[in-house]
Amino acid sequence: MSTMLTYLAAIVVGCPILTLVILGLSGLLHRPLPEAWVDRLTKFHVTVGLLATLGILGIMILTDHPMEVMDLGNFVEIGQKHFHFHLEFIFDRLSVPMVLMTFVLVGVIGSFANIYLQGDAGYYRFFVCFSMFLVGLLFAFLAGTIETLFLGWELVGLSSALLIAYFHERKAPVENGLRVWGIYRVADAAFLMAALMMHHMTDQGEFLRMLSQQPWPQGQTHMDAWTSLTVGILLLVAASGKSGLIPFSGWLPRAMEGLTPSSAVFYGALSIHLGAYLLLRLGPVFSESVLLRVLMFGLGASTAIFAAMTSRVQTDVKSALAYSSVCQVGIIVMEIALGLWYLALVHIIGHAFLRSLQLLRAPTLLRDYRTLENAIGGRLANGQPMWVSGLEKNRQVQWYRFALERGYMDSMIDHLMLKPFCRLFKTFERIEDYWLKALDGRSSRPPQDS
Amino acid sequence: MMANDHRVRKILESRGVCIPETTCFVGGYHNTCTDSIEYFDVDRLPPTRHMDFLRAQEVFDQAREHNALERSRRFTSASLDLSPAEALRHVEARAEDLAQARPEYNHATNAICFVGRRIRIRGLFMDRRSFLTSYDPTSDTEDCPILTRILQAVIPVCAGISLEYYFSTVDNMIYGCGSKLPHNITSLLGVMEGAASDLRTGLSQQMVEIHEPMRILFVIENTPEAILAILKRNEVLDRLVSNGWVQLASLAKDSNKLHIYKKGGFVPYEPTAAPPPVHEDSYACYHHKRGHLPFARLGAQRAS
Repeated sequence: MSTMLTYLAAIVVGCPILTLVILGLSGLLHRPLPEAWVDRLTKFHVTVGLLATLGILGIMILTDHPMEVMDLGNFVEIGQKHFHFHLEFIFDRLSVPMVLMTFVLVGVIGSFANIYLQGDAGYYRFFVCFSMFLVGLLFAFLAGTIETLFLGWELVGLSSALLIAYFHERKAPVENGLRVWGIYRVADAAFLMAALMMHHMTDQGEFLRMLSQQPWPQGQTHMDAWTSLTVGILLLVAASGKSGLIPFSGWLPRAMEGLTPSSAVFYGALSIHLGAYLLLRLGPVFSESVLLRVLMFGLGASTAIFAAMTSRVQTDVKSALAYSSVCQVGIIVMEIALGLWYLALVHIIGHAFLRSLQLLRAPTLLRDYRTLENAIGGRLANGQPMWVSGLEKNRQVQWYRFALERGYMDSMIDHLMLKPFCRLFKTFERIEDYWLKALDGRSSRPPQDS
Repeated sequence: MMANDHRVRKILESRGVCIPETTCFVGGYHNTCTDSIEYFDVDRLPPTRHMDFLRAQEVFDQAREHNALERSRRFTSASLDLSPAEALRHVEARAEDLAQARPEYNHATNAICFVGRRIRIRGLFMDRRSFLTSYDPTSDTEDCPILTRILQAVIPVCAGISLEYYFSTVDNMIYGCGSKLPHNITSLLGVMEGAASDLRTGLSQQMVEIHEPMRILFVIENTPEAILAILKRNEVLDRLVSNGWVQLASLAKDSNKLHIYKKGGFVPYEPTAAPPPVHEDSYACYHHKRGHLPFARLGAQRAS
């Protein structure tokens, strides 16, 4: 049984990688496959991966085997420096459901996009990014070490940015793609710092050893209070970047710049949950500190309330759906903070499917409205919730404005983070230039127009 | 249906329009995307006429299948070997497919509007590129009140459709609304591109990709003088015609002589192209072909 599991695990991880390699290589060699082949290849690999995951699930249930580890050894090892890049995948009660969900949703989107993008110039490009995204998600969900998880995050981030900027002949998609990429980098930086600290403290990058070899959801950490507080806060920042929690919520509607299928499922339903998944995976880090759990609960609650308000006043369907996604993720984070991990897992999966359907139906919204209104013979109800009509007129306007401006969060990030950051590095550049000039007697850079 | 009401019929009779007792109207709605026809108030039909209705419905069903087949040749995802029944199923499925960015091609490839008796163009294969407006010049009087009313409706409407397609095709990003794929419905009234953009108007790239941009040609069955007189009396029509937004031609009532409108007057038109090929039926014209097709004559050569 164990060898069987290993084979199945290899298929789950190997199939999407093979698709990516085939599509990527033939693209690089300027021999793109015909559309029909791309379609068949992706469908075949997603189906095989899904069946293999189902097989793993079946065996794990039948043999009461809560966890299967697939160790691929060290990808890079530098002995003297104590550096190693360890690839390891865990199949357990957390990752298998997530992988099943990924295969189903990504498979649906693959066959949807095959029709949707028919004859579009970027068909091939889409499917290369599509398979990269799938590989990234699988790596992230199955990761057994921090290095593997980070690799997955990076692949997801890169392919997301490329898909958002799919229409690269227009300005807005490229700008928004860059912005999302930037926010992902902030999350990555926080995550990397947390990973380094955990590495430093426990001398391990493996979740299992870090969490004392217990299968999820058991496990505990052996970090002192201050370290776990620091690590926890960094992880919260990383999760809020990836999951669009406060103050990073602005990236999700911007991600809707791309194609409907990619924006729909990739951001609205799958990658939005990466942050929540991270919190679930490293749940034991949080469960020991009450302060951390309070922080996490507060973050989730404020995000949920903010996003619920904001999604109500959005004028376009995709932004409205994006903020409702954020709202649900906020609630999921609250559940994780309360220790309801299984509930959170079920919530993630249910939410992902519902949101995908809604986003795929979004382009037919007007027709759906007409059908519904014809059927009931009147306008659809569009009332205000009780607590809004109870508010004073002035307050109503204030809150409306706050929600319409999406909590001013994007401009806050611009003014409080981006601009000081750029200014700081411009200052460094000037200092460097000054010193080089002083030492060298001439300008270090080729002349530029100021 | 109003015309089924005997009170309405009486009033009509007093105005000289007589609808026989045996005539019965059934309203319907043809969905050009799914090629379905919905009939209204069939339960009000006199029971004696039910068999007639069923027979008519059978004919309509055949027409739906053939229409679907003729449309399907333009869709790259439809096989060229479909049977009429399969074609109907294909367009029905296509209309419901959420992933389908081209449920139908609407008025794309429109090029001509014919205003005249249908008998004059009977047996002419026009590749679905023509608007057809029935008009009988022999029942019209000297100053053409019927033709005037028809042209007042037909010229602005068809010119509007044709020009919308024309400009959306020649500059899809500016006059059209660009690719449909990143569209985002906003305020329940229009679309914008992606997360934020201007409201997009015009037709999408997916709608006009098979369109050939050209000014629509109206072929009107009446004398050049009568048409010029109508233009003179109607400033709106005259502006569209004399400023070259549309083209105009006249077909004589009693011969095949054509006149074409040039700079304020009509000049005789001499055909330069070879006469159209003759095919057995329209299926033979379009079978196994995807692109634009030339006009063709159907059936045996008809005496003109």
